[in-house]
Amino acid sequence: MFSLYLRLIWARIRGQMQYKAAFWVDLIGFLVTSGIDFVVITILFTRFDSLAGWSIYEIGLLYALTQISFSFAEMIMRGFDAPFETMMQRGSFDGVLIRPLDSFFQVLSSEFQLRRLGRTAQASAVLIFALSNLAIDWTFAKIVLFVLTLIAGTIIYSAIIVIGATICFWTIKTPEVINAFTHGGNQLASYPLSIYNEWIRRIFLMVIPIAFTNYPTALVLLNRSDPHGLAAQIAWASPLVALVFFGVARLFWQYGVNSYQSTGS
Amino acid sequence: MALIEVENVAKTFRVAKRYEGRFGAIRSLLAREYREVHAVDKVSFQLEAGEMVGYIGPNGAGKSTTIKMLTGILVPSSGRIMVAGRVPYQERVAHVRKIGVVFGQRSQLWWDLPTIESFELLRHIYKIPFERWRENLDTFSDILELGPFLHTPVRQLSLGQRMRADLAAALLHDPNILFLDEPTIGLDVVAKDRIRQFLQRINKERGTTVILTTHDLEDIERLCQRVILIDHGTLIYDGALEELRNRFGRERTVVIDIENGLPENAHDWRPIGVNSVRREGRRFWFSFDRHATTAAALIGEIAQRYQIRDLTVEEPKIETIVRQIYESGSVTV
Amino acid sequence: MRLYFEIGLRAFRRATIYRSAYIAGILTNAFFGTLICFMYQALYGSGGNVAGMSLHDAITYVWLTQSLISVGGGWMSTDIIQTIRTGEIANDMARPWSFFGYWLSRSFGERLLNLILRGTLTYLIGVLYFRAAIPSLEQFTPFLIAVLLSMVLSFSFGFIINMIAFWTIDATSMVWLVNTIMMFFSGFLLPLAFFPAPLAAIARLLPFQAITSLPVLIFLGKIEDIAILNSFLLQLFWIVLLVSVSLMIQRAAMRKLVIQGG
Repeated sequence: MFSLYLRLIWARIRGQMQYKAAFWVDLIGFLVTSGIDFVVITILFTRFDSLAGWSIYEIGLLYALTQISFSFAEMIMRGFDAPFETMMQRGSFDGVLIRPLDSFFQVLSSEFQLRRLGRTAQASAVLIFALSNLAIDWTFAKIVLFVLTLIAGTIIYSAIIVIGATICFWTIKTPEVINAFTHGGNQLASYPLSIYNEWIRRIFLMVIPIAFTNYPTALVLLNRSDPHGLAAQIAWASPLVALVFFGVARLFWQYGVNSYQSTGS
Repeated sequence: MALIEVENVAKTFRVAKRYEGRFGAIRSLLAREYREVHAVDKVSFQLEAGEMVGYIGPNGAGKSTTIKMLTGILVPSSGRIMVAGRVPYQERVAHVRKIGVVFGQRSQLWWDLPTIESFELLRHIYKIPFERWRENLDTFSDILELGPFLHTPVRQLSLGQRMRADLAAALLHDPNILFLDEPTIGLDVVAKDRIRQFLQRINKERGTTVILTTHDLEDIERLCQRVILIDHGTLIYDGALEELRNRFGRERTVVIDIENGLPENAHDWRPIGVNSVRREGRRFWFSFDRHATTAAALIGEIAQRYQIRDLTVEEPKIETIVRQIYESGSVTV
Repeated sequence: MRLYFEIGLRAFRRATIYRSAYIAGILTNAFFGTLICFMYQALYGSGGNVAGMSLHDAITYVWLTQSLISVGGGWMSTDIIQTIRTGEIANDMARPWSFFGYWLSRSFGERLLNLILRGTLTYLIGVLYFRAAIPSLEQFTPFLIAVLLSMVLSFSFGFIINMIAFWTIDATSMVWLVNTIMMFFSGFLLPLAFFPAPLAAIARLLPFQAITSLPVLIFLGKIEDIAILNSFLLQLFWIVLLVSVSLMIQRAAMRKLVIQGG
């Protein structure tokens, strides 16, 4: 199965590589457009002293953690974005149902966008900027936590992308909804969860667990505590939360496929 | 048990109503009402293995919907479908492994890659043993002449080339049933002919059951012994093509080229059994009812009046037959 | 003239069909508005005035920009690029009415609907939940005029960018890049008042401030009396400039079409 996946995405990558110039233009484009968010934050910090007691470097850490995860998710799950929406609009999803493979697998392996690494590059630069100005005492546990969080974050964002795509089964043309979930959640996670009101905190911790892509982990790394009493140690639950959430997304997708087969849209 | 069993299958869609008029736009924003569209309405038929059937009807008749239900893409609203002992939508992956589908409008191949690479990917997707895959590929390349463009990216292929590639792709995994949705649409005469010949061979040599949806009635004439005619979701005719022609294609035409000039009352003369006469210069078209007279008798009569230089006999066109069925109201078969 | 009105009306109508997408759009804007408001609250902390803006100003600012996103200040549509890609543009340009005029009326119709429905509803959420400011009549009328002007301006700029696709092959990523720069310098991402001096200088030279920043500042009362007239003039200046460029590009494109035959 995995080898088939590799084969299929390799076919896509090769197809993309035919347009070398466009690839690099896009990559740099993503670098700039995603980077502008942090430029905005930097400008704000020239006017304001801190954001709820967090310094620009600490915000940078938060930002980088969630952005890197998001960029990986964008790269891997691209099939569920524009390609899938096109399938819905053109009615070519039928072609997926004709093949003896799980539909989720097919959409997943229908695209792999290396150019999304533009965002990864930009976020990594911010990470270096942040870490070199923060005095974090790195232990082995903290390093493991860091890596696990990135993985968990990728899975969480991937799940959101799948949920956003599944909604397309009913509404066909909804780039905006996916945007609110992904870019909105992304932007929300760039700031400490503590600044939001209670129900936003609850939703983004327990329903759409974007907070787990960076916040508890940042608390652990920075030796901070959450003013609302959230235990920093739940950062270690990030992978589990991610997997459960992904499971929910996967089921929702199946529900979407079944619905498509009933109504044909 | 037949290979394909369709029993009282119906499919109903809910379609949102569009409000007309001035405030229609605002109204549709605020409230919604739906109406039901019966795309397929209690259709039943059976197909045995090895048949080649034409599935025809006007646009919106319910052809595509039926095909989608047979392939497992769509779930019927009611009724029973069994294909090779399986319910298509319930066992989708197992069912789909044994069928091949060609959509005339869309390609199943990977757009940016050379044709041969699409075939290779399909080999892995359908888990076709290499030897068998190679064999099929060579055979199809041969008959369909795929060689020249095997290494061309699919997006650069002409329509005819792409269709041939799609056909080969649909058969690489030795499916039992082949569903074709408008396979010759947009193709020129030579290309159409090549595809028809290929389909005949596949059906004959491999016993592949073929279901063909098409607007090109010549496809039907050349390929199918059996025809299923559907309109407004209802099955109107199911049977041999010959019988369809005999019952609703009663009119044949004798085309005569005459040697010399016309007598005065040429326009008024109408032999027994002739429905209409048309004339262009030296050529006459005598359309007659096949139950009222025979071509031989008619030609004999004509020969007594004119000196015949050349003649042919035309069979009724299917378009005419179909139109006649529609015009005579819904038909019970 | 009647023709363009019809085109606008049809665009107006067409936009009402995708009901659920519309509601999703409003909620999306409201969502972003909400989270940016919290960010500003966290920044302002106990209050105070930064670069002439209080926390309440900032909140109002955010809700205004979010409400105007579909009206002028946000994503540029790539409709024209689509017609270039499909080749439809050749047909469109051959029609007996102005190509630019057609797209302008169409865009205007869509944006007007967005202003009335989506923008107002989004802002209403800001008023209800974040106490965004409700303007006085003296502020609202010039604000409205400025918004209408900004629609034309925003469209013209989008038109130029879309039309550049006529000469390049794949323009969508470039469009996105330009769009982001536009949003940055228009004051959509953050108030221009917060810009450090060098960036602020650049912003003043660009037309984008006339799209978002000027109307919003009028609404907030940061621009008053004569200054309002000045900002109208500035908007008009950029409109004239960009429309002229648009028409020039249109002519060049038509010439290319005639020579190359699409």
